[in-house]
Amino acid sequence: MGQVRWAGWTMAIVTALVTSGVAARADIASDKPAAIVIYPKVAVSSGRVTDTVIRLSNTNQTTPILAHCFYLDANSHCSGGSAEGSICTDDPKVCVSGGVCLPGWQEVDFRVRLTGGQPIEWKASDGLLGGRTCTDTGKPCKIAGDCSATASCTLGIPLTTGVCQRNPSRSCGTDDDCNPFPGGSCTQSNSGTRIPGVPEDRFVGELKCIAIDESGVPVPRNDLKGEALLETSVGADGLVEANLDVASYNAIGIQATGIVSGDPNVLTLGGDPAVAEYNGCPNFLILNHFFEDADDPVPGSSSEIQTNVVFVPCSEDLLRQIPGAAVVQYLVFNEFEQRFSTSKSVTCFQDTRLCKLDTPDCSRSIFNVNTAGTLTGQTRINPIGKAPLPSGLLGIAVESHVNDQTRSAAFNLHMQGARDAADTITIP
Amino acid sequence: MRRQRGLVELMGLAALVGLGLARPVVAAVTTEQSASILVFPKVISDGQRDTIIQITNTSNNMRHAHCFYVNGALTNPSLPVGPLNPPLWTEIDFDIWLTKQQPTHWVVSTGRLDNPSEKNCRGGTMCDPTTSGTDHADCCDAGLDPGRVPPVVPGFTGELKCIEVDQGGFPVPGNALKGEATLEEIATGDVSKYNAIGLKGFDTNDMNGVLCLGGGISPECPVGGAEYEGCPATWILDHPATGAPDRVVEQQDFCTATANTIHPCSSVTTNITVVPCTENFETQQPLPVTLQFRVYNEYEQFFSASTTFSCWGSFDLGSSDTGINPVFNTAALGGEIAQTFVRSASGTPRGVMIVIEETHNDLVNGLTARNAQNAVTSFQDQAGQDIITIPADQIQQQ
Repeated sequence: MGQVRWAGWTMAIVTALVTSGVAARADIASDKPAAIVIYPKVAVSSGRVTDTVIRLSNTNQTTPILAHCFYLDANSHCSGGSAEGSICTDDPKVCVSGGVCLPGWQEVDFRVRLTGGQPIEWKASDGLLGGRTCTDTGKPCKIAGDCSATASCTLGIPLTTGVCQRNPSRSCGTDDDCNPFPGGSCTQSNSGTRIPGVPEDRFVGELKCIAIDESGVPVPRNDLKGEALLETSVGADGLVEANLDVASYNAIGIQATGIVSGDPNVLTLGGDPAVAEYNGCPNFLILNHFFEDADDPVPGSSSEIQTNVVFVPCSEDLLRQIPGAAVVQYLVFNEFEQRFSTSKSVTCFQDTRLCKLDTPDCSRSIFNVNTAGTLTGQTRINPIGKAPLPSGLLGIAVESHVNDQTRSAAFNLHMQGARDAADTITIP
Repeated sequence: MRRQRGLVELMGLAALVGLGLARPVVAAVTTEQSASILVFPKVISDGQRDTIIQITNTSNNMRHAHCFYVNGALTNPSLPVGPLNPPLWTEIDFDIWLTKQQPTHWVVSTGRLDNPSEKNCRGGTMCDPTTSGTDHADCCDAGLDPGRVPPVVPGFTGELKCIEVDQGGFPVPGNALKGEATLEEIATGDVSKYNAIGLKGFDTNDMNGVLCLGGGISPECPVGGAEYEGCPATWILDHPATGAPDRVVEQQDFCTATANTIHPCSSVTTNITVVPCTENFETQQPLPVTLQFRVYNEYEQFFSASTTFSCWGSFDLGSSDTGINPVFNTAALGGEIAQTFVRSASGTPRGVMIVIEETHNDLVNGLTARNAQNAVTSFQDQAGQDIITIPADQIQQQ
C-alpha cells in the first residue's frame, strides 16, 4: 500500500514537473519584444546604391531603455600581396601577387538610449551622429516640412538633449541640470546616443543590440524590437535601367528569462533552465522556399526565383573576437516527399544562395529546380556546434525574383525546439 | 479507502498545477513556429497583384487541413466602405492533404488541380506560368497535389485561413503547419512576403466545429476552455509616417543632383491589413471591431486614433478616405517614423490579426517597391475569448 502511495505521488510530481518544464522552455521569437535583438543581415554597397535602414524601438511606453549595440563586420580582406587590406568577400581573385583572402570578424560597438515608446531609424552607411538639420541652412528640423522646398531634413538623433520641464528653453541631460533654477526634472532624451556608420564602405555583417542598465550591465527587459530594410535604389544612366527594391525582415528577438547568473558580461542563452538568462536557440530552423532558378508560377510573370539564406551564430565571444561555429545539416524535401541532404560549416556569418551550399555549380545543386523536380521545397536546418565556440544559428532568407531587374523580399525563418547546450554571448 | 481518494485528488491537483503552468500565460500567436491554425490576412488577386501561397507539413505524419478563403472585397469596389457598401464576406472552403514534411504551393488566381499527370521539373522541363492551375500545368504544379484548390474569384481581396483537421475532418491540435504568402505585382514583378500567423492548438480540443481561441471555460467552450492560443491584446507596428522620404532613394545622385526639381524625390506609405480572430462561417455575419491606435513619434509625442471594420480591413495609414485619422501623416505626426500600438476597443473585445505592407516610391524614376512584414505582438492575451465557428457539415464531409 505504501509503495502504491509513493508511486502515485511520484507519478503526480513527475507529471507536474514534466508539464511545467515544457512551459518553462520558451523560444526565441522575432514577433515579440525582447532583451536582445539581432539583425542578421546589414549590407551597404560601394557607392551606397544598396543600403540598410535599421529601425529600433522601445515598446515600453513609459520607461526609457539603454541598449549596447555591436556591428559585426563579416567582410573578408586580402592578406599580403599588392592588394593588402582590400575587401574580397565576393571575389577572392581580388587578392593578387601572392595575397590570400581571409575571412574577418570585427566588432564596433555603440550605445543607444530610447525614450518611452520611442522609435528611431538610421541608415547603416551613415548612422546617427548628431541632431537633425536642414540640408541647406543647417537649421534644426524635425521633418522635411520644417525646411525649404528644395531641402530635406537629415536623419539624426531626434532628441539630442532633454529640456527642463518647468523651463523648456533650458537643455538638460539629467535632473541635476535643471536645479536650482527653477527646479523640476529633465525630460527623457537620447542623450548619450551616437550611432556610427558601418566601419567599411562596402559592408556586410550583423547588428546586435542588448538591453543594459546605466552601468552597462545587461538587464532582463524585454522591451526592444526592430526591423531592417535592405534597399537598392538605382537611377537610369543610359546603360542601366532604374530600379528600386526593398526587402524587410524583423530583427530576431531573444527574450530574457529574468534569471541572473554568472558573470554579468557572459550572457547565457538556454541550456540549464536554472541558469539560463535568455531563451535558448532553436534546434532546427525551417525554410520554405522555391528551388533555385524556378520559374515564377504567377501568370504574367517572367522571373526566375533565387533564395539566399543568411546565418549568424548564437554564441559569440566579442571580448576575445571568437565567432560561434557550427556544422549545419540540411534536410531538403520536395513536393514529392522525396528527401535530399547536405551539410556545410558556418563560422561567424554566412550569406549565400541556397544552391551554393552544396556545390559551386548551381545547375547541379540539390536545391536546383531541375534536380528537385518541383517548384517549392522545405529545408530543415540543424546546426551542430563545433570548436572553437560551438553554437546554434539564427537566420533569415531573402527571396529574389530575377528578370531584367531584381525584386526581392526577406522573411524570418521558422524555428523548432531548443538546443540542449547553452549558447553564450561574451561582451567586453 | 478515504486516504486513497484523497491521494488521487492530490495527485490530480499536482498534475493540474503542472498543466496550469504548461498552459501559456502569454499571447503566443506565432509567425515562426508550426501551428494548428494558419491565417494569411492579406491575399490579393485583383488583376494587378496576385498571391502565391506556400504551406508545409513540418511533421513526420500525414496531415490534413480545412481551408477557407474569405472575400473581403467591397460590394461595390469603386465606392468607399459603408453600411450600404459592406464587404462581401463570402467564403469558399476546401481541404488539403500533406504527406510527411511535404511542402506545397499554389497561385490563388489559378488554384491547383488534383492532377497526377503533371510533369516534374527535371530534364529541363520549365514552368510556363500561363499553365499554372490548369490541366496541362507541367512543372508549375509538379508534386503530390494537396487536393483540389479552387481559384478565387476575380477581384479577390481577403484572407485565407487553414485549420488542421484529422482524417475525418475534425479539428485537431497537431501544430504541424507553417505557411508564407508572396504578394506579387504582375506588371513589375515586385514582391513582398510575410509569414502566416499561426495559432497553436492545445490538447483540450473537443474536435467540434466551435474553435475556442484563448479564454477559459465558457458556454461555447464548456469542456476545457481554450483550444487554441488566444489572440494578443496589442499589436506593435514600427512604420514610417505617411509621406516620409525613403532614406536610401534620397541619398542617390539622381536625387541630390542640382538638376533634379522633384523635392523630396521619394515617399513612403504604410498599409495595414486586419482580420478579426472571431469568425462565424455558419452564419456568415461578421461582427464589427473597433481598433484603437496609440501612435508615438520619435520626439516623445503621442497621439491616438480609431477606426471600425468588420470582416476584413485594409487601411492606408494617413489616407483620409480609409477612416483612420490623418495623424499618421508626417505633417500631423511631426515626425517621420512612428511606433503604433493597435488594440481592439474594450467595447468590442475581439482579437485581430495584422500584417503590414509599406510602399516606397521613387518619384524621379517613377518606381514603386513594396515590402511586407509581420507585426510584433504584446505578451498579453486580449481579454475576451475569440470563437471560430465551422459549419458542422463541413467538418464531417471527408
